[in-house]
Amino acid sequence: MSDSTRSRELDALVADMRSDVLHPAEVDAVVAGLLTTLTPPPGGGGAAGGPDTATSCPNPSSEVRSLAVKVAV
Amino acid sequence: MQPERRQVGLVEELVREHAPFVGRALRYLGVPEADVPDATQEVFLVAHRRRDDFDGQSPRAWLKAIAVHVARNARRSLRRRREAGADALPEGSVPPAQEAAAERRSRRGRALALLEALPKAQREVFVLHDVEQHTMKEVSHMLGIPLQTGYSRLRLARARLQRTLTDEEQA
Repeated sequence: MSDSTRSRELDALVADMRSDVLHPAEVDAVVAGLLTTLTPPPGGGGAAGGPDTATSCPNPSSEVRSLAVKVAV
Repeated sequence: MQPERRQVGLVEELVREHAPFVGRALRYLGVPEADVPDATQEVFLVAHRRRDDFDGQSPRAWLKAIAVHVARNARRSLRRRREAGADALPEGSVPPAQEAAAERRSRRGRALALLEALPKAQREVFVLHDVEQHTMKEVSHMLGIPLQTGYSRLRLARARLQRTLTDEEQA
C-alpha cells in the first residue's frame, strides 16, 4: 500500500468520524434532561438536589438565563 | 411569550447547536456508546456550574475542554467497572436500526478500535484537532500542554494510525 493510499484511508476514516454527530433523538434527550434539571418545578422552588449541586440555586430560572447569556455566541 | 420561557428556549437552542458535536467528541475520546447522551448532558451541566469561568471567546472550544474532563472521568469509571468484574455494556444495548445505521455502527466500531490503540494523550490531540477541527492553539489550551507537544502528539498519532491501517491491509 502506498503512502498516498494510506493517507487517503486515514482521511476517509476522519471524514467518517466527523460526520458521526449525536443523533437528533439523543440531542432531544439531552435537552429534555438538562431543562428538567435547570428549570423550576411548577409552584416555585428549586429542582431536587443537595446543597452542592447546580440545581440548589434559589432561583433556577435566573440560572438558566445566565447560562444562556454566557454561552450565547 | 413569557421572558422566562423565552430564556429556556434560548438555552435549548444553544444545547441543540453544540450537543451533536460535544457528543461526537465524547464518543471518540472514549466514552462508551451507551453513556454518550448522559455524558453530553454532564458537559452542559458542568458548563452551567462553571459559567463564570467562560471568557466569552469560543463556546465550542470551552465545551470541548469540559468534554475532555468528562471523558477522562468516564474512562476511569469504565476501567473501575471492568476491574470490578462488570462487563462493558454490550453493543446489543443499542436499539436495532436500519441498514444505514448498521453500516454507520460498523464504521464507527472500526474507528473506535483504531483510536483505542493510541495512547490516551495522542488520542485526545488527534480527536480534538483532526476530528473536531480545533486549531492546535485551542487544543494546547484545552489540554494544558505546550503547542509543540500538541504537534508532536498529533504527528505520532497519525503515524501510528497509518501503521495500523497498513497492518490491517497486510493481514
